[in-house]
Amino acid sequence: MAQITCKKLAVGYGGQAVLKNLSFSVQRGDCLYILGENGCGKTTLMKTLLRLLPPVGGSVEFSDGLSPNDIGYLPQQTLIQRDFPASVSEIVLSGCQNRCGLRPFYSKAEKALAHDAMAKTDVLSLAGRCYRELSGGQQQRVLLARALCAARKVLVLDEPVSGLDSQAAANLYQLIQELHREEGVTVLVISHDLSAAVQSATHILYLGHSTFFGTRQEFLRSPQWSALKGVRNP
Amino acid sequence: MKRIFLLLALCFLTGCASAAVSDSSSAAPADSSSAVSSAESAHAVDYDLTVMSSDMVYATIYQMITEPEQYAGKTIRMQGLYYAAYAEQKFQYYHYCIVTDALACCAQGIEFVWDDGNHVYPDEYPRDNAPITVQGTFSAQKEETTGNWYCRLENASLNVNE
Amino acid sequence: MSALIQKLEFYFQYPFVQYALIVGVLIALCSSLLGVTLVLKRFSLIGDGLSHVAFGAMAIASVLHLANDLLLVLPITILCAIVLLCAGQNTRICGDSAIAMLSVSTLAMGYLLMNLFASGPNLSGDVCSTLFGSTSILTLTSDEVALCAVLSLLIVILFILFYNKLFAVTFDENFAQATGLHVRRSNLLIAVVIATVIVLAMNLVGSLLVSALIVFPALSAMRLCKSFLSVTICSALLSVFCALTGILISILAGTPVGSTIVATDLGAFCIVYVIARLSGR
Repeated sequence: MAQITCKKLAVGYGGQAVLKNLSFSVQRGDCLYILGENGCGKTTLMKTLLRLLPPVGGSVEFSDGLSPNDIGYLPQQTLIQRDFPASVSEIVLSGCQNRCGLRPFYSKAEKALAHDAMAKTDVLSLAGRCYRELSGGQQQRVLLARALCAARKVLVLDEPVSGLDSQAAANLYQLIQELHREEGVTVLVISHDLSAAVQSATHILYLGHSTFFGTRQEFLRSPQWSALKGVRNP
Repeated sequence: MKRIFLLLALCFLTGCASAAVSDSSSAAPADSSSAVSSAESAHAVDYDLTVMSSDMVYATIYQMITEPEQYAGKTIRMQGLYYAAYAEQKFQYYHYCIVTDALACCAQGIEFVWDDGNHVYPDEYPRDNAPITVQGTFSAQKEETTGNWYCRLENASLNVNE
Repeated sequence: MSALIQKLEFYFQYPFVQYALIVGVLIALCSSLLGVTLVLKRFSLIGDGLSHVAFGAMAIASVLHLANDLLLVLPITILCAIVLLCAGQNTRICGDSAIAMLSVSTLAMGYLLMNLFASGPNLSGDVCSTLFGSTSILTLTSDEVALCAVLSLLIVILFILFYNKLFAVTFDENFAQATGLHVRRSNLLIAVVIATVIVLAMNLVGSLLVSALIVFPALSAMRLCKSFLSVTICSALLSVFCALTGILISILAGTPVGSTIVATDLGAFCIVYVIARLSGR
């Protein structure tokens, strides 16, 4: 059953659509890669899915028991975070904030959850360290742990490997794969990394001159893929 | 001209409006025998402002003007600048000791009456802006019509500090 | 040295000195708590802008001869804070220039109003004391002391209750909103609290120097500490210490209170900076 369904969705800022007429759905346990060149509206689409932006047209529906609070989100690093004085455990724990409601402090269960999430992303040994002193790969794993605290059903990852070296990127992809396979988390990845997409995606949404949505196998037979391959290997 | 107006306005809340008003609690205990005063006449003085820093002097005078009842009858000793102002309605000169705050932007004046007030102006008085030390008894009278307090140092001694 | 202590004992007998210390400590505490968030969100200048707004509001209050000008100044400042902090991200004029515009225009209008409808005989004194807070802290009424104390305690309690939410919103506003936190509501709360802190802090250091009280302790603490909690605590301690030292120095030496506190904050920052450099952080 579909968790997220978009019908004739148009996304953009201030009533002006960047992308129009998007229709696709995400099933439980899918791994959807949203691909496209810079500036094609990937991030705008993601912000609309996360309800940070209202849709310009069409609709986004959550079903299968999914509420917007069940979506964990790994945003791109902001300038503010780069020199933010916070320890790793503080950041991961802040992912539990949406469970608190009006309660001012974290419960034992939430602290255990944060501990669990840090163990899963292998940052437990860094718990007391200062976030701004970590390497890029470590920082992404910390933010991933925070996303896991926020939600276990759907993870939205925005350019998870940008700024990482190839080794750190490979490690992060592997971690995402594990979470997807072993935890049954639905994963949405925004990326322009084609090779990672065709390796690990179950579905692909390609945004460009012509939009494509389908399974990975379908994508590999699509004109969009041939065009991309043509560009890559002349 | 503004300055003179300030003086004529006497002690009615000349202070900084933004700094708001007074302090309702009682005045500080009479002191100075134990304090740092070296003045020979210190034992007779209830409030010796000459041993205070400018912030404290300003704040204390502010208290006197806003809570005059607390200070009535006390002996005050203070240093400041001499200023005379002519009140046309009453055809007479009034004499003031002016203090400024640390930034020198707010000024407050207290009127004083030298001895019995029979000294001749301007012959016996110092020039304007001369640094003076005044010691006298604080008196506060409420003006019935306006409800304002009228404060001054009476029976004061006047010394010019050169 | 003993002469100094004796002099301090002598001054402490005056209730207005005791009040000044209590209110000074409370205000320093509040401003430093909020300062960490403001600095981290790159909102340092908002404090400056809002204090100018408060000056303009105070000018209106004094022209209208209000008995308690806080009743007018506080709402106006809060309103501007909400406009700047909450609407700032979506407006056409971006944050920086909006603040600059608002702050200079309120400053100019405030001074103009005071000049045109001068109420008191001591205009330059009024203006100067509002801008630099020379001895305002020593001339508070007991009503004002009570109001300051209640508001400051309220702010501290609010801060503790919302500490975790504040962290989440400060560290990553988008994430917080995406996971269902009411970011707009928290920003609204931050705006209201910041406006209140600034109006209170004007009593201590005057409107031109308010942002120093907000920015310096947070910056110093960020050099020394590595977690948000320790930064917050360290900045609160530093701020209270500097405010106390500043007030004591100024009443002993007869210097303007506001500038002395800011100078102490600056001194503390320099010392911390050197320590951090030497220990290689």
